[in-house]
Amino acid sequence: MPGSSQDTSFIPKNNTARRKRTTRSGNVYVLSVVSYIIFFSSLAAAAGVFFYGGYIQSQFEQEVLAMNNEVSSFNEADMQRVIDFDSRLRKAHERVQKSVSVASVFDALEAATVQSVRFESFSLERDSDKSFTIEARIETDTFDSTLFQRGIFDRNEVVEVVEVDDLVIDDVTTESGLVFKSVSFTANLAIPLTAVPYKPTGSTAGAAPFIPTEDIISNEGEVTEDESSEVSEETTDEDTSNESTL
Amino acid sequence: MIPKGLFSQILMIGAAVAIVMTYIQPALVGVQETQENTGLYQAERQKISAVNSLLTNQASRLDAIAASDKKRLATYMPDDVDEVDVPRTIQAIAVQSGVLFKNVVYESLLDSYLRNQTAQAGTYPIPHVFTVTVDGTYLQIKDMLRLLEQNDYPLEVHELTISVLDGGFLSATMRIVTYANSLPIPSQFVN
Repeated sequence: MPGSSQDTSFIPKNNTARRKRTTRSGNVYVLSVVSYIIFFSSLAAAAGVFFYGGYIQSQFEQEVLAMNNEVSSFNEADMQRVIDFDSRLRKAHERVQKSVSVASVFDALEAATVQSVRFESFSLERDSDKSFTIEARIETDTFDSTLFQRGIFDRNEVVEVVEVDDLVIDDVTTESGLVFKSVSFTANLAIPLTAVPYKPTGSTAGAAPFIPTEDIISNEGEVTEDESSEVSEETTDEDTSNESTL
Repeated sequence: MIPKGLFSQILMIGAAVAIVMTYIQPALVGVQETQENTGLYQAERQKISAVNSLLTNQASRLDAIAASDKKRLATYMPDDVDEVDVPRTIQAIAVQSGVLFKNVVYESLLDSYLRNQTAQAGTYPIPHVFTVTVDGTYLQIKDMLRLLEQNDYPLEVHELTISVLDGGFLSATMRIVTYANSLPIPSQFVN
């Protein structure tokens, strides 16, 4: 018989020379591991983000609650009370800082007025918490006295601006028939408020009249006039020796 | 044809990308916003806390001020000027100084204040003007000016005109300004 019995048999036989498979099973395994890692990492990250988000949200809610508590603990009435007091105190302080002594203006003018001078009229005006402006009509006997008076005003430390105008010379007849020359002029002076501050002293503090406000109404319900005009007996004697210049 | 194993691997990677893109990334943005808001609220809460603390401190200081001092301040800067009490005080001062008290008239608010009323609202005290006329000697008028300065609320002489009368007496007209903490109701000062 030609050929081997193996070739002619109708029963298939296993080929003893098996074909070698050339699959790349190693590459597939790496990709599989990487894909698993990526997938489960994303799941874990999602879970982590979910819980972290919840934690952050609870922190935020606690912070909102704490802020609401702080807001509700704010006392509006106290704030209004403090603001009102502060405003009143500031306004009072502002006026105290600008309190001046008009009597000191007269003291300064007394010190700067020569004997031969006579004031005919006098007007004083306070200019916006900056200075006093004074306009005085002054009469004297000669031009020399006028010049002397102007020089004294100029040298005075309190008087800042001195202007002399409206100079008029006249004959004046006295009751006894004597005629003499009279020189009159208008002096415009300026005194800064800072030059005449009000200084309370021990001898003058409290010298203003005391006016009772609660005991005016007597028990019978009638207003007692004596009490309403009651004043303290304290007076300032320091000016009684000053010579009048008006 | 794509093998079944490879398909599932691609699917897992795709799902992971989808999870990151659709959940993790927006969730992280939300977390960041919440953190920023928490920081803002924390900063604001600290500011409010500081204000509350300061307010408590100031209120305590205010409560600690003696009642007599508060009363003196309220007298010096009253809520409103009493148009009867102030002339009464001026009259008492005039009597005290020895001048002949002639009259006192309440005028209105100070002109300069009325001109700048809008700018000065709430910042400056409200000036009220009284015009006073007295007769007397130089020393008596000067004494009156000194007593006005010593009053327990401001009586500032803003204008003073002195003229000579017969017999050596002088006539003095003063515009005296006193202050209130707040504006009177409109009907009181509209001319």
